[in-house]
Amino acid sequence: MAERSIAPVLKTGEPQGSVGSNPTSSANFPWRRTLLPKALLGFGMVLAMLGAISLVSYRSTLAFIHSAYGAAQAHEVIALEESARRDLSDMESARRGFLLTGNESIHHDWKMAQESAFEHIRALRPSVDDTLQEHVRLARAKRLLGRSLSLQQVEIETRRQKGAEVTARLFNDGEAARVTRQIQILLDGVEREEKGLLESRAELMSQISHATIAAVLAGSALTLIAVIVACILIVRDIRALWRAEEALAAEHNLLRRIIDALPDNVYVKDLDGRFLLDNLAHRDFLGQPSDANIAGQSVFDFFPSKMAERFTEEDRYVIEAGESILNREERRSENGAEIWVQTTKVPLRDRMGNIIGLVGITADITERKIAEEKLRRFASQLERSNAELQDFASVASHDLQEPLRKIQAFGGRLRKRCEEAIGPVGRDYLERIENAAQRMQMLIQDLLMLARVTSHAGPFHSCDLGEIVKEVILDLEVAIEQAGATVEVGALPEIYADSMQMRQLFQNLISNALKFHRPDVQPRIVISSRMLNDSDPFVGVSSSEKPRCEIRVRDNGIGFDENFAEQIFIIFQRLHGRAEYEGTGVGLAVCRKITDRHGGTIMAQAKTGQGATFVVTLPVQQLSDEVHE
Amino acid sequence: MPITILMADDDADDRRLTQEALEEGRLINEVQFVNDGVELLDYLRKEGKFAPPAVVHRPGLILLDLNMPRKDGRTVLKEIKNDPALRQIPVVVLTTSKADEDIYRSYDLGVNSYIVKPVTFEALVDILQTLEKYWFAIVELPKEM
Repeated sequence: MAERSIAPVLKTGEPQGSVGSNPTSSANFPWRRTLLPKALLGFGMVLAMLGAISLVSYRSTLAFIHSAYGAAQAHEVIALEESARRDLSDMESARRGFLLTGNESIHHDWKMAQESAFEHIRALRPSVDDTLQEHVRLARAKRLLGRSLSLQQVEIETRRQKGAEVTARLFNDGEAARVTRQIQILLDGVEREEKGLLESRAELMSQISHATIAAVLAGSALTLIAVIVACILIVRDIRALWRAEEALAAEHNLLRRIIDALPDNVYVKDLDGRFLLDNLAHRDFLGQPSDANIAGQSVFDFFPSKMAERFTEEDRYVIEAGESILNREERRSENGAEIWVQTTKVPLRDRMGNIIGLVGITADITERKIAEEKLRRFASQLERSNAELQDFASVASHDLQEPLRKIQAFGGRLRKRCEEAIGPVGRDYLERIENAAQRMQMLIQDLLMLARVTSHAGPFHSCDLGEIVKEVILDLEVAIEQAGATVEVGALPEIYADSMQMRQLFQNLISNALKFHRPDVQPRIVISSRMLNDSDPFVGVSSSEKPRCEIRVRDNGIGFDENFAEQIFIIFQRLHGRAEYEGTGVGLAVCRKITDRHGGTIMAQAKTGQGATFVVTLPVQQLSDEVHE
Repeated sequence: MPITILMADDDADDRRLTQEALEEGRLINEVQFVNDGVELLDYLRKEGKFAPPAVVHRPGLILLDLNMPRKDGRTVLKEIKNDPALRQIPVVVLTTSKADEDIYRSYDLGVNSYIVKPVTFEALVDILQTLEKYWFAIVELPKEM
């Protein structure tokens, strides 16, 4: 999630949040992919089920309507058929009555019944579902009715003309009575048929209504389940969406707090140079309240137009060239005061790599600049004073030598030519002058030697320290023999150094060890070396990984108080009076200057009366252009 | 006729000491002094204030200080040793400088000897006696041309 960066902040018409340039954002947000299909599927299923239920209902309603219509027809047929039967029976009674009595009023009743029967039989029509048999029955009934009528007409006429005896025979067994019975039988069949139909329809309707109720119930239940399932899934996704939104909001807040916590000015601009967002420090820098929203504004709203134009030009360069401005330092005049700022501007790209703005960071580095300036001035001052000191040491000692020599020479002349004239007091003064001059000569020579460590520095090349120490011991042979000293030299490395100065270094150290021997102990000097690895405390934290060697020059002489271990390397610093040990106090200062020049160190470990050890560390390699001065 | 020694030194004290040392050493040679490199070359080439009618003798030995005003000893040495008419004259550097560089450079330019000015007067007398004995008694020099 973190890599989505400040995308949500940058709602610049890109809903996807282009800044994070995260091509897998849909993978991080599954609800994006599933919510819509789930909703569609859920609603689709519900709709399909509702459709199915409607279809079933429609179909059963149709069936109902059809059945009801058929039933109504059947009832009508039955009613007509019953009327017809009643008419037939009335007709039959009337016929018989007339045949018995010949009463014309009964004839009239017959006629009435006869018309009514006709009407009813004619109205009889088969209902929708009737069978072919029914059609045949009805057609026959109609035909038979016609025949019955004509037969009965004949009987009636016969009664009128021939009297009751003739027709008495026809009373029960006549053709007309038989036909009427046949019609009645047919009508019975019709009634049976129609009633049967009614029964089967009723059964069918009951079946349909059961099935419909079952289907609607089942469909509704399924729909309910589908709706519940869809709701659960959708609610779950919506919850995930809420959580994601909360996480985004939290991340947004965190990012905002982070950039607000930065002490430098941070701002984001769009392609037209309008601010999209910035941090607290930037608003503070612009003199805006901390809760101000400067989005949509540009540098022209906050800076003088000349300055704003320059900023805009810079922004254009970053956006058009797509190149960053990194840590550019510049001096600005801010309300009359001069400040230094360091600016970084980088193009802001969307996922496709198109530049959509820039991010800028501006830091106030005035204090650092002032410190740097101070440091630089101090360094150059130091360099100058060092050079002056160097010049002073070498020039002064040269020029001091001249008058000194004169003092000595003319002192000599004075002693030679005027010794008698100046008397014993004069001679004492003269002696003191000569002694002072001699000491001054030594001082000057040593000072010159110290100055020459840098002024007469030789190049670094490979030198065998063992060989150099061997030569030094040879040079000091007389002094070593006089002191009765032994010098033990262990294996010494070959390093890059100024061989003349290495020679001087060891000469000074060995001479020193010889000079400060204990009068009652045979002097013993041990020179040893070892390579140092980085964990060695002597190397110190600041040393690089360059290999170094350590050389120890140990003696069993008078030693010294460890409190003076640093002091002895300072020029003209002596721990003993001139009467005890001769020397000017320059030798160890020269040693330190030599090790400094080589990027090495020298230090002393000692205890009064227990000898001293001088520890020298030197880099094994020297870069050709490396100078430690 | 005694051979002339020409000494170039800007230091009056040194000239005085040298003069005294020659006297004390009872040296027979005549010593001429010049103050700097320019005067030395004028003398050798008989120019400037040494141009005729002034009478100057070609020196048999030159004692040269390295540090002098106007034209220092190193430059003069180089000019003498590059001058076909002058380079036969032996030149001895007599200077306060003990610098290795000065010594090396002087010999490199063709100096005949390099002597550091002694501290004591006695040593100076000794050196001058030795020089006279060496250059005027022991070695053979080309005949004056």
